[in-house]
Amino acid sequence: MESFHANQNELIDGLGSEPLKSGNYMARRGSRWSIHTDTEHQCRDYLHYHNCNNDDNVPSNGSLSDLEPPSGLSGIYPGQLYSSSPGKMFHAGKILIVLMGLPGSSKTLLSVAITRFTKWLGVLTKSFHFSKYIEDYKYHHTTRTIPSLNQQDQDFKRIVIDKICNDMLNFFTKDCGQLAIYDASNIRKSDRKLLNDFFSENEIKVLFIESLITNTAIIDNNIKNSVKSIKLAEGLTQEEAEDAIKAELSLNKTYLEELSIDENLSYIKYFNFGEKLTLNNKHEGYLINKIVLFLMNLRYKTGSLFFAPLDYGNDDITILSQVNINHIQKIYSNVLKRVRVKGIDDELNTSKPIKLEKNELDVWIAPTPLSEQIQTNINEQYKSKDDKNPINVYEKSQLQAIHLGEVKNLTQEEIEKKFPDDFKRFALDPYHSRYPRSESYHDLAIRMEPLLFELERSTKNILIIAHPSNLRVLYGYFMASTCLDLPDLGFPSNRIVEIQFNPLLNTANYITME
Amino acid sequence: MAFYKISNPTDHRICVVMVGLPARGKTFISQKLVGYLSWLSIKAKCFTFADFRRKCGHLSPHALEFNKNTGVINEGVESNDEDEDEEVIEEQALEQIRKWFQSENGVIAVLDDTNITSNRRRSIIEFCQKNNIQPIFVESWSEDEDFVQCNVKDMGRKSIEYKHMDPLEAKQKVMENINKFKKNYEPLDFEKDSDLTFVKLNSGSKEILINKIQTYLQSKIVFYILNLDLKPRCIWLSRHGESLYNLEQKIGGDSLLSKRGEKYSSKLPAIVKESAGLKEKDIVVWTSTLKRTQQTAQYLTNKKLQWRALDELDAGICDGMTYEEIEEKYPDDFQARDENKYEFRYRGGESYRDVALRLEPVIMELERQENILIITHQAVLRCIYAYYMNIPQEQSPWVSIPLHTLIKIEPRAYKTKVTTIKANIPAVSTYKVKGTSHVGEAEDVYTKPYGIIKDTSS
Repeated sequence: MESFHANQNELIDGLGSEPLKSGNYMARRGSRWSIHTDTEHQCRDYLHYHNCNNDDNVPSNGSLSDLEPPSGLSGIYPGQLYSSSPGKMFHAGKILIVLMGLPGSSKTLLSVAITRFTKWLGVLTKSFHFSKYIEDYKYHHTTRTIPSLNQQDQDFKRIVIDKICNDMLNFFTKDCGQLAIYDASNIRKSDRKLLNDFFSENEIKVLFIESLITNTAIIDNNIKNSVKSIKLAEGLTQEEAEDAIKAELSLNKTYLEELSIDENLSYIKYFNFGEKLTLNNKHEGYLINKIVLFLMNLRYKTGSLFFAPLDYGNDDITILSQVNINHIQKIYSNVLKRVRVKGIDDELNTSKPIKLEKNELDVWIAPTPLSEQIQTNINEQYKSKDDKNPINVYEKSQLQAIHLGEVKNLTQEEIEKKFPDDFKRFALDPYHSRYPRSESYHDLAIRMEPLLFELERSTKNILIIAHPSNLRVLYGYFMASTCLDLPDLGFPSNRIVEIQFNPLLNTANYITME
Repeated sequence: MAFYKISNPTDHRICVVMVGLPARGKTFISQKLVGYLSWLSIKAKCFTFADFRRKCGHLSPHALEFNKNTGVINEGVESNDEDEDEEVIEEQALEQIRKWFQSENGVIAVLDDTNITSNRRRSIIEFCQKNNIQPIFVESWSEDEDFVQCNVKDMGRKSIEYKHMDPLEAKQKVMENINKFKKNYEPLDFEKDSDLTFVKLNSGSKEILINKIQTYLQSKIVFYILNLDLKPRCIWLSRHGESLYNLEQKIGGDSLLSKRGEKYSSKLPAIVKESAGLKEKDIVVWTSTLKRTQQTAQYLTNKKLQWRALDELDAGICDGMTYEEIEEKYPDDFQARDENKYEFRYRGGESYRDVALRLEPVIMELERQENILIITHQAVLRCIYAYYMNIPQEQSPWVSIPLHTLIKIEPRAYKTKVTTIKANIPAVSTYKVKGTSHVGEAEDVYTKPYGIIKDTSS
């Protein structure tokens, strides 16, 4: 070190021979985590393509299966957290997750939830549902999962599986996919060995996730959900359809071979949605561990999320100092009404009403000095007398609104005048751009990641009252928006967005305030 | 760290309780965990009973616990006294944890002890319930003889209880204690401990059990531990060779190497060989996606991977400017950056915090992999170095990392060893002195605790 230091003056002053060039002649081209400049236009096209069904940029019912990027995008998935080149995310390589478990063990829900999460991370992911393929072939439903049937059924099943494997392989090799999720029962050791051998040969890591559900309320609810589709397809009554599924379930049980250590596979055993997990993972790696982190926090949801925007006006946007308590009360009363109506609906629509746990309404609110007052107020108004527990109002620091830095209190015209270059950058990439001292949506998403996990953990109805910027990030996650459409999502102040959880597809509806 | 800030700190006190026989890597896990959490700005501290035992005059703690639970008497010592002592010790240690949570607003305490019996664990749970702390048990279970032997050696030399002894005697003592312990060991399992929050690692079979994770923060702790590999490893770090922009004192950019930088790149394979010896052929080289790091790696024949996460801190609109130009053009920014360098973001660019955050995947991969050489940039190296050496946030952006120097880091349970090899190829200094636009280490950098990378004595 000493010698290095002693040389310094000689070095700096003694360069001599070549004159120094001036200006930024070897500038850096890509910036931060934004999508590569040469694909930007394609991404904008994609945005247009994806948004064309929306009126006025209001939140739409995002569908996961629709979210495949169009062919021009060359495999770059505009995820919220990172944007990566195909197959390169974290150098994790190509991964196939194979789900396994009996009917009614929430495999479809798991596959869709993992897909939503990894896409949010920016990994190009696709779920392959065995049941969807069967529907496409319009074949009699009982062949869905039963392993041993007549030769004709067996042959048919083989054809479908071959088709799925082929499609998955194409997804990896032709569509630059990084993570595929195969949603089928795979209850036989032989099925699993075939899959593992085939994909390992193609240099794709295979990870099995076995979903084991012993909670009967969850199983019943899952059966209820699948009854709906069967009833439609075959004109059965409720009882007939339930019986058909239960027969299928018990038949499958006799064929079930649980994952075991001597199969020499990489696997995760997932008991009752994260109650406990057993990992036996030979591949490891950041991406897979991140999925384990997600699984540790995922819960079976019966409640809904409600997003109510707060108008911060021209106030200092990072701290909510003036809240109209009457307004919050009004929001709460509207949502509570909706929660109760939904509860009655559920009971009417099913032969066996399920209640996983008491399901009233919690409030998460952006930091405000008035939170205690709000809590007292809401409890005085809405807590029923026979309920011992208070209505919870949580103040969440992650719900602090997006920091606007130096563009605080400025109109669009003023911003354009004061920061012309930033303004242009913003127009191109509103998700990643920042004005001086301000946060981008990307920063906000990173800041809010713990909150997303907390929401995944929660099974209750939750009313979230926050600035539209926070609601956009939350909505964007649960409805699988890309970073391109997220900044344009609108949250009119007189309406509340309700997100309902469904195994295949979350749905969003408006509640107009009375 | 703002985004990890916890809404109600009192709801989120966690005590991580280590469980396992001696020499199973518990201290290593504890130290790494505390380091990681501090790096994320979560207040964490490691507590061990060993300090208290020493104060009470007991140098062999493990035997004590053995005694307590079996009533077996050590020669020449009355059992009653020991029992009482051990209870006092436990009480004192737990009391210290309680105080730390209360007076210093601690978030995560790590209790690094054996805790091998259910009884001991129950009394810790009781303590936690009384003080509104969530306990999470982390058990390290291993039958892997090589792994254990390696830890035994390390313990004998470095651990507070044994380091005063002769190495052979210490080793024997550790082995004796392990054997005594085995008889009383009650490992955690799904059936018996279904009500506890725990994670159980098995270094031999790679099987991991996770039970009843109740909060996000607990899951985050487990996530970090999942990424840890307990085998000893080395990591090599280097900045890219001197670049043209370095010569011109410009920051950022994507410039090529200078002639001297080229020279460093051609000398690098030999330096790596000198430092790594036989391991050299197994090394995987990680570079950023910028040209100067790839050029620096060009003569290495090892496998290479590019990470965007290793790209230099993005200076935004200041990219390609000299510090003098920045001072002239954006005087306020220039001053603001020196005042809080860790948080400062260049317009349209990044702060050190942003860099640390995007490094998470790299750090996690580093914990699993062996024999990695990272060739990257000044700010990124400062963050990585700060992670390994537990350098506080306010100081990490001011660490001096010279050009043309290979740094070898060996993380161990009791100490992280650093060795530097200089290529002896002259280069400019890119160190900016606080408060000026002057480039080059000021004299005081050599006297500051984290000012400059020093070799640690072994």
